[in-house]
Amino acid sequence: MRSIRIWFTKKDTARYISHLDLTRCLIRAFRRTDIPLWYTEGFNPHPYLVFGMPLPLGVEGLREVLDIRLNDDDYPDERVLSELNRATVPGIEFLEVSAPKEKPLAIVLGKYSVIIPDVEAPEEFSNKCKTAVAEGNITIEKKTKKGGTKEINVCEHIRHFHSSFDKNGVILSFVLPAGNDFTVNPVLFCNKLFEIIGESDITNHKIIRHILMAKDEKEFR
Amino acid sequence: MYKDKIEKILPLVQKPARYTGGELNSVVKNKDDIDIRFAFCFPDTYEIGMSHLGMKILYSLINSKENYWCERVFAPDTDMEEALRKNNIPLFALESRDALTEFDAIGFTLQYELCYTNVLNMLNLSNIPLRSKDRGDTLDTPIIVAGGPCACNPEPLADFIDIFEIGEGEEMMIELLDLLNEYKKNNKSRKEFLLAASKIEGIYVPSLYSVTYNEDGTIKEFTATNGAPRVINKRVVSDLDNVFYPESFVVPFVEVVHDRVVHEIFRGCIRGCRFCQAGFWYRPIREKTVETISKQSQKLACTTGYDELSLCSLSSSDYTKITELLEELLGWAVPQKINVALPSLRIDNFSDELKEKLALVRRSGLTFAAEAGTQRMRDVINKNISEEEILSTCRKAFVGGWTAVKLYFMIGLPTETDDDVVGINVLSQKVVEEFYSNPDKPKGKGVNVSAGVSSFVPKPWTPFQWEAQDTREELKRKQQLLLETCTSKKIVFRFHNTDLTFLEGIFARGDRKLCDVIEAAYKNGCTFDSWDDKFNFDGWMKAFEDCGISTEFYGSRKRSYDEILPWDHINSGVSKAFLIAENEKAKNAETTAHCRQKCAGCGSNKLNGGKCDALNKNMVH
Ligand code: SF4
Repeated sequence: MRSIRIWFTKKDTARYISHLDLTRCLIRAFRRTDIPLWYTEGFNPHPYLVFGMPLPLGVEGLREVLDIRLNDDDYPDERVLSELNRATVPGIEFLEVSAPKEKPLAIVLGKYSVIIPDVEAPEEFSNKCKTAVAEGNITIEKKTKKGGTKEINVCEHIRHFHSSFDKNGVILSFVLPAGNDFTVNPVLFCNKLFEIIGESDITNHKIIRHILMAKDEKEFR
Repeated sequence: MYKDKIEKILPLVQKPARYTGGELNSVVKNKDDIDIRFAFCFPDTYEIGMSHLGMKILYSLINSKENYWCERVFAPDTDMEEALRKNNIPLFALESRDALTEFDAIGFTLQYELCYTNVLNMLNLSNIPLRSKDRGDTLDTPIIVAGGPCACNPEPLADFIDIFEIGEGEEMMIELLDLLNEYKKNNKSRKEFLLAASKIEGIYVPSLYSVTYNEDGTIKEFTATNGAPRVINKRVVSDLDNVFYPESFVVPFVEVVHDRVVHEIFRGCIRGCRFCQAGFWYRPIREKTVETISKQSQKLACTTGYDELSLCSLSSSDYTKITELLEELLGWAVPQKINVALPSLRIDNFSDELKEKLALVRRSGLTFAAEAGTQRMRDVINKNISEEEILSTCRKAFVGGWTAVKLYFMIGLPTETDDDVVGINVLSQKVVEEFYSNPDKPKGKGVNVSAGVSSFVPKPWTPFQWEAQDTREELKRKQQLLLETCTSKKIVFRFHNTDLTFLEGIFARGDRKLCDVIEAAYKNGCTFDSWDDKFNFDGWMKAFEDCGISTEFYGSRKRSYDEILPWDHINSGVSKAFLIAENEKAKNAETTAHCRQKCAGCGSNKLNGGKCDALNKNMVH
């Protein structure tokens, strides 16, 4: 048995596949290949799949991560890639296979950008975003593990917030916690930010997660 | 442009993956290479529609023709409908996201009567006139087609649908589209096309027929005009081994009701239960060979990645070579970790070895369609099963470790007395006792008998098509009687909503006068009528009242054998004489042997060149 780490995208229509549905969708993709996937033992064997950090519904991922186990130690990595890319659905592309360096639990941050097209006054929009973040009070509701909700101020957790514009629109970029222990949902953050700057009608923006990071903002490997 | 608007609303709705398209094996073609675009509409949600085998077959079939393109459309859920209307986005097909007005033909499948308002809603969301007569005389407005089991009595939708496909679609669908292609190329009028279409076997164009009524509301005369055929023969596919079957299914992202490889192993049913429309409508019996089923399902498992294969047919265990088939399927399915699921199966006749293999693959709960509580009642409906058979199956299941049994019953059956109703309790109680008399019963565990009790709806093409339906009050009284006479806590009843049953009964045997009611109900806000939480009964009752239509006329009225029934211009093969004979036998609680014991001469084989797989092959009937 051999563990491998697979890097993939989740773009376009695939960004609307919920995490639960993604698991099923990828298991079926594996079943359409000859990849010797390792199954758990027992009465109801199921394949072993561990995802890095689930994406919120609607967010694109450019470098998502999935760990699996192979039954055959000699099955080549390149073949894993080519088989999966043959069996995949639009929007999910498999980029690379690597040996896992860190445990998935090492993931703590995500690097995001937000593309907001067709903005009428991009410069003003962009400035308003900067001001709102600088003012330091963007609270969103977060579910607690016990099933309740609590309020958190995103500004206490956001890093490297940046806002730029061109004639077509505005691009935001930032880093937010995205770990098993603590995570801030970029969708809720954007919705709240737009509400604060009086632009809550916006729904055609696209949030993209570029990479996942470990401690000290080092790219997760 | 509304396509940008679609992107804007997707993040706002529940389970957006139902509206994005892009699923595995969905077919996207280049519009420029296409002669005919067909939108296959399922008048219910994505989760239900994507579970439907008929849609998968026709989708793949049409797309197998290079110059035709079939796309999928489902009824949008309430939140999506709101978003579409608010943003002025027309209903769109999943593959191209084009509006339905851009299609040449739109086909609805009618799986149950209570989807009719959804059909109207989908037309309305597409900005297509609801009534055929308002669609102009060119072929520019899409031709509205409908098929599926409810098309066996198409009359309640006669004013809305241009063309009905009566019977099995695999062959007539392509013939129809070929004709449309030809007529479009030659710039023919809508009327010319409809008339030509009416000559295709199985095609019914309601606007070519006129109906007059007697004073009491019954049909006086049904006349074909413009040279349309007087009788429409149900279309029957003769050879299931050689008819088209998909090599792949679209695999949905979201979880749908039936998310697996499905295989229909035969059509028709040998049993002849007198209440069952499907059992008569899908006759004659035609079986697929073991080789074909195995080959085709293996291919499907391969192209979809599904880990479950389910056989679907009426009473699957009546397949002649069922043991051989299961052994063949399990042979490749088990090593590939594929479950083989067998709905509605009598496992009594299987060897222990086979049972074990099936158990190894899947332990599904035990369900039993007893249908009625007393032997007399079961004889009336020709459900040829004895109490001892029911109890012995339950006994075996309990010995095998099961602790839950689901039993299915019906109330409101013809000739039913209160003793028959209470008999449901008596039988359920005996099942409970069966559990406790098992010496090896698991310690500390009780038994769970769930009794699903639905209400009988008289349906066209059955021996009971003339019978009165119990009123809502009577059905409620019988439900109450069951609850009052039940003494065991181990029995849990689940009842069907009697208001839904009542409407289903009206539309099942309805005529053209009901078109106005359906439109009125739709305008009163009725959609998704089969969904308990969305069902708007008041909207329906107001519609009947406003249209001056009596519900009793359709529901609780007994018809005489010589009344012209709304579906009499259709020929399902099954003869009226046979249905009358069966109805008379029912009155005397006389049973009819199943088709492999003796052919009852139903007549359905006449539409299949005299052939029926339940008949001795040499015997010409
Ligand atoms: S033709 Fe005879 S054997 Fe065939 S379905 Fe009819 S009654 Fe049964």
